[in-house]
Amino acid sequence: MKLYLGIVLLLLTAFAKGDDEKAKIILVKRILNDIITERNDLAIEYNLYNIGDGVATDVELADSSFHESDFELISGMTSVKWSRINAGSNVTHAVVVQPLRAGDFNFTSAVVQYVSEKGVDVTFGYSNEIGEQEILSLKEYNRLHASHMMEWGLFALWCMPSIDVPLLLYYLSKRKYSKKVKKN
Amino acid sequence: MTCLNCDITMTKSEEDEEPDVISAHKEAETAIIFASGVEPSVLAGKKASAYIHFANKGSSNFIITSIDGSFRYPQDFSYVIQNFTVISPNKMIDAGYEGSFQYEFQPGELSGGRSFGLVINVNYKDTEENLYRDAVFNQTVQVIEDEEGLDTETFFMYLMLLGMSGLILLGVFHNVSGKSRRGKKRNTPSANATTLNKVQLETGTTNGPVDYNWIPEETLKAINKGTPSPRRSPKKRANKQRSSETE
Repeated sequence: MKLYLGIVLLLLTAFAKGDDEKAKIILVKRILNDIITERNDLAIEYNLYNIGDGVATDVELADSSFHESDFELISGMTSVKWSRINAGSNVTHAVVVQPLRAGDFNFTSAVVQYVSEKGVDVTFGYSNEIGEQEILSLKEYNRLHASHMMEWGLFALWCMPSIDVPLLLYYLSKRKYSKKVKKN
Repeated sequence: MTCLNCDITMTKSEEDEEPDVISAHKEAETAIIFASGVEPSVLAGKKASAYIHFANKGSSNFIITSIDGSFRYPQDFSYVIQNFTVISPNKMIDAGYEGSFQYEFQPGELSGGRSFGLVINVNYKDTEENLYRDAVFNQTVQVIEDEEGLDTETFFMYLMLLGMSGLILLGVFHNVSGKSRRGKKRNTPSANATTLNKVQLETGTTNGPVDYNWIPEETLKAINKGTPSPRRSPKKRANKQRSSETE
């Protein structure tokens, strides 16, 4: 009897082990822009990697860090749902926003919730934190990265006297003396 | 998140002076995946990304204080060859929650073609300030040499070859043209010097006979007599006078 029970227990644990295929989701949040500018598009990418052995179901990604007072949503959704993410696969989601204000902004983590295996409570996971990033004002952005046509034009204008005056002098003298040569 | 201390130096790690004091908590699970997949593909001089999963299965909260990575000597993992920049997320993972972290590191440019022991540690503490460390990755990896892009060494080699070939070409050209010019000069009879219309390079009286048309008659006479040209130095005059007085 004891032996029988033991075998049953062993089988049970074996089955339990077989069923123990848990999903594990890594959520990586990433800024795709090199420069973040006020009133310009800012693309954010979310990568969900299911590194577990099981299927993740009812996956829900939410990012509450882009509040309406600071950001305007251009395209995409800050809250997305997937019914399942298979083991070993990954999903990418992107959002485009426009920062409304310049200054330092702390990009905090997004949250993912999913059911890692059947009959288990929802698992909550945080993404990585990007941390504080500087949002440049338009004025500062133009100062650093614009083509500066106006400035260069002015520079050319101010350069003119120092080039043109010697040229004029040269031209005058050349005309004067080449005439004399002709006369001779 | 750039690599601040990319120098490849051999230093004995300080952490190993107190081995096995800090270990992982039983109720915390870590996992890692790289941007290239489960197996890291590390290119020398290029940034590599690792994504770390931290699951808190216990009942106490954990605070991830820092994540550090390093290259170790494959035969002896206590020798640190290169330390990578430490990130300090300072992120609290509550009981039952999970967290993801991104760790970027850049192997030194000279580390290509060799294998190193890659160690990535997650350092965390609980609310009672007990410190834990979990080596989320601890394996020997082969660092691949970065063959993309312009190699400065080969670039300067080609530049030097170009310069040398240019110099040789210049030398050959100079030699050939110089010889032909000299040959021409020999062919022209030096008697032509008498014709004034021809423009010639003046070489003095050393090579070729003297154009006697130009020499005044008195001088010619003096030369024919065989006496040196009369010098009008006062000393000589005085000598001459003295000799004439004695006579």
